[in-house]
Amino acid sequence: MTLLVGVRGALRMACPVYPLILLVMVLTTSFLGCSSDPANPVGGDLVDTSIDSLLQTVELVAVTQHAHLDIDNESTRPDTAEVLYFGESEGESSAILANYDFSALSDTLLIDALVHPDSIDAVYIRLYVLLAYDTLRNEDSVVVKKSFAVHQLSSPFDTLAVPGTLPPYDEELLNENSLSATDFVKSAIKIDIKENAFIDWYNARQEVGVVFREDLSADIDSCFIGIASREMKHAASSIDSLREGTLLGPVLTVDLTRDRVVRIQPVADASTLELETPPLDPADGWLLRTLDRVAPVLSFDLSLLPANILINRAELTIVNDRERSYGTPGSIVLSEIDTTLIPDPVSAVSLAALEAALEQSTVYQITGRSSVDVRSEDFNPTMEFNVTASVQRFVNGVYEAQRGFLLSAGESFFTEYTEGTLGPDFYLRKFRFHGTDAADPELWPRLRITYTRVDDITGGGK
Amino acid sequence: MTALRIKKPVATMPIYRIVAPLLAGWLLAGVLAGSECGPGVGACQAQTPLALQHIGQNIGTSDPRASGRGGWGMTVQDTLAPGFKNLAGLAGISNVVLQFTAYGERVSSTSADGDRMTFRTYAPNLRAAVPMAGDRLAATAGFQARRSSEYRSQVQDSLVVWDERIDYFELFVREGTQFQTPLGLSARLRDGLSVGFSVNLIRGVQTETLDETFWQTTITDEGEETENVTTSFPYVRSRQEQKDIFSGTSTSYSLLWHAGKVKLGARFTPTHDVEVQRTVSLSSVAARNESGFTMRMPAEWSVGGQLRVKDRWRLGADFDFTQFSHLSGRWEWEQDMQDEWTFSAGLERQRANIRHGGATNWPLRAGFSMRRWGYLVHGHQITERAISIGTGVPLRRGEGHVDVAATYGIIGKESETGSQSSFVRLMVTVTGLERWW
Repeated sequence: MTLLVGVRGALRMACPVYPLILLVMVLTTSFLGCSSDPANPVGGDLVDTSIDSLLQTVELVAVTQHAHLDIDNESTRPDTAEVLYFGESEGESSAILANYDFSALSDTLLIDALVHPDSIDAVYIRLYVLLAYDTLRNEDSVVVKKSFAVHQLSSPFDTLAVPGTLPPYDEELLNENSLSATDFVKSAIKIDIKENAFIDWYNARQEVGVVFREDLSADIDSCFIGIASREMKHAASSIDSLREGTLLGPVLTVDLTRDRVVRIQPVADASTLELETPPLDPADGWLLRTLDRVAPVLSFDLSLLPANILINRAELTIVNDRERSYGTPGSIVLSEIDTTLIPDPVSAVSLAALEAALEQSTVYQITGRSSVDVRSEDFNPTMEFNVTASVQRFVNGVYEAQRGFLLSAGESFFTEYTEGTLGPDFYLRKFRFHGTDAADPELWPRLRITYTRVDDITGGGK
Repeated sequence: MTALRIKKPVATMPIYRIVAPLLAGWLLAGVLAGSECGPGVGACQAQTPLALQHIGQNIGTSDPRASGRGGWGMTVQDTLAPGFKNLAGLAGISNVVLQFTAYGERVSSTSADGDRMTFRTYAPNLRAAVPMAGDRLAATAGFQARRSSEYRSQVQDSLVVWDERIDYFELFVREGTQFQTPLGLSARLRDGLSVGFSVNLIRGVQTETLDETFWQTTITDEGEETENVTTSFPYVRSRQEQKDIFSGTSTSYSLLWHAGKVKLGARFTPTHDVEVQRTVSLSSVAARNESGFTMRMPAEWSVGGQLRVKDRWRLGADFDFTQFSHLSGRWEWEQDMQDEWTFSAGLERQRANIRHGGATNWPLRAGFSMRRWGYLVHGHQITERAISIGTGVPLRRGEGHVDVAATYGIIGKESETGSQSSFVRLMVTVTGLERWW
């Protein structure tokens, strides 16, 4: 209160000029500035300055690093994959392996049937094809021709040995080597198995391995199809018209008389996934693959650029080799990667380590593309990515180690481009990119840079 | 008739009342100088486009009292309305003085490419003076904007890049103020003869920015439209900035002589050096170029005369001369530099204090000025002509006054310099005396 009285008294004693000057100063300084017509060409003739080099162009095609990451998802064992892949494509193949355990099987229906063999109507295996591959059959005809050859394995397959080469099997076929429209029941393929084989298995009371391989001698279409495994957890969203409670995987089914059915689910199933190994030469191109993950890395010789330039635009272009690509639509994510993480042309890394690298910014997500569908008629194989900010960081020397560009699938830790649960562990997808052996240079990967240069800075700034 | 003088023996004033305003003024000026920015400096683009080049426009206006009569002020020796153009005139003050000046300006510029109207407010002067030994000695400090370049110009052009036509806007912005903070003394050597001296701390910053924004032109059925997209990814804009920071020190010597009806004044500022620290940068680029050089600033002379023609009426004129043809250290300017001079003349009816005098007590001022700028544009000299009027009102009990002035002027000649500007400037000064401290 005393203070207020003192201030009031002082103000009362003060002469009027004091608040006036203060008011003028405050108002004036508050309104310093201007509101003018927008800038226009008036005065343009008086500007005798210009930027030295505006929108200069350079195209880099010399790849300084060609490498691939062999990414292992340690949290998912191959034999527990939800999808089994079958087929052949451009030298790659995948057969389906299944183990059935008859040692503990004591179904009274079967015992009765074996006492009276005439009571067995049919023995077959039903494979449920994923919705994404439903082009396999079109009403009355088979659109995609496949040929299933079913053999008994010499011994049940080792779940730790998959994916890998096809294990030894008996040459004798367990089925009729054909596939027709009538073999389809909705989304399922029905493959008849010889009854005698089944009876032998049952009587032996042992674990039996079976392989479903594609008969390459038959009239087939080169492609892979996805089939539900016994571990399928997303049947509702990935398989069409599936009855509730349906056993999934290559289920061995025995139809008995009087509409009695016995279903035997395999104790293990897996795909052999004999797939292409990553190319080791830039001439052979780059490979991006899901499931059995491979992610390509490439970098360019930026020393060809002048120092200390402004990157107006940097465009990374890679051209997809559509003939050697396959799979369902999926994401492609482009990131920067610290090249010290890739000591070898093909360096093994875990998916968890890749995620950790992203958190530590040794991998930095740049951009990406969603729903890239190599099967679509609208698909443009020339894929361009905006890497302007990245190249600017490279030029600015932000990083101690050299960085390259990493192309990867839409893993769950990549924001915006994640594919969710039906992602890289679910679908087998391959994006193959042209290398420098392509006859047309337009197919080569390239980094097209547009930049601005100022001599004062380029020529020895600090 | 001499102006009313409030007698107050300085010996009775506490020392803090002498030191405080000077210190405040000097510290304020120092802070402003240290921040490379004065109160007159703002993000402003309102000035004549002719200031886009070289040393910029001379905005060394003093106060509305001087501006109202054309600009002359070398012979002002008034205890109640002191002028700061000639520091020697401060010697007789008996009050602490604080003076704050601001103005608003509207500039219309024309060229073959079109017209542009700009507005700005500006605070070019903050001055303080304190009597120190009776009416024989005074000290002064403050802030004074001297040259300014505030304008932006935008042109459109196009380039072919990757077989694609790219249109772009090139925006050139020049902004900055050079100012000084004088700390001076004024002494009356004998009746009719005073001298002044100041040390001027010179500071300033001038930034030139080139900003290129790229656009793609798309053709529609309705005609041509511009959009800020390209057929592929957008181009990041290019922005080059050149920033010059000025620092230096000069000294000024002034003289005021008074005999009968005549007063004569003179001021001289010798040649001095101004150090320039230049930084050139390009947006998004970490590296930048830093360099330094020295500008040899030329000497400045000012002379003025005043004649008391009848009681309250004064006729005066000033001539200011800066030998910019001798400026060195800026090779890119030197070939276009020429000597700058300003002639100003005008008439003033001084304020009176006649009881119930009403408007007849008011001061009246009118004058004109002509200035030849310190550099050539397109090989032609720039001439600035202005006419002005002004007046003022006293505050209660003679504790200060408010002065206003209106100036209309024309700068350049479009047929010669490519651009021509006309301006209207309204200036106000509040001068506070003694009591408000």
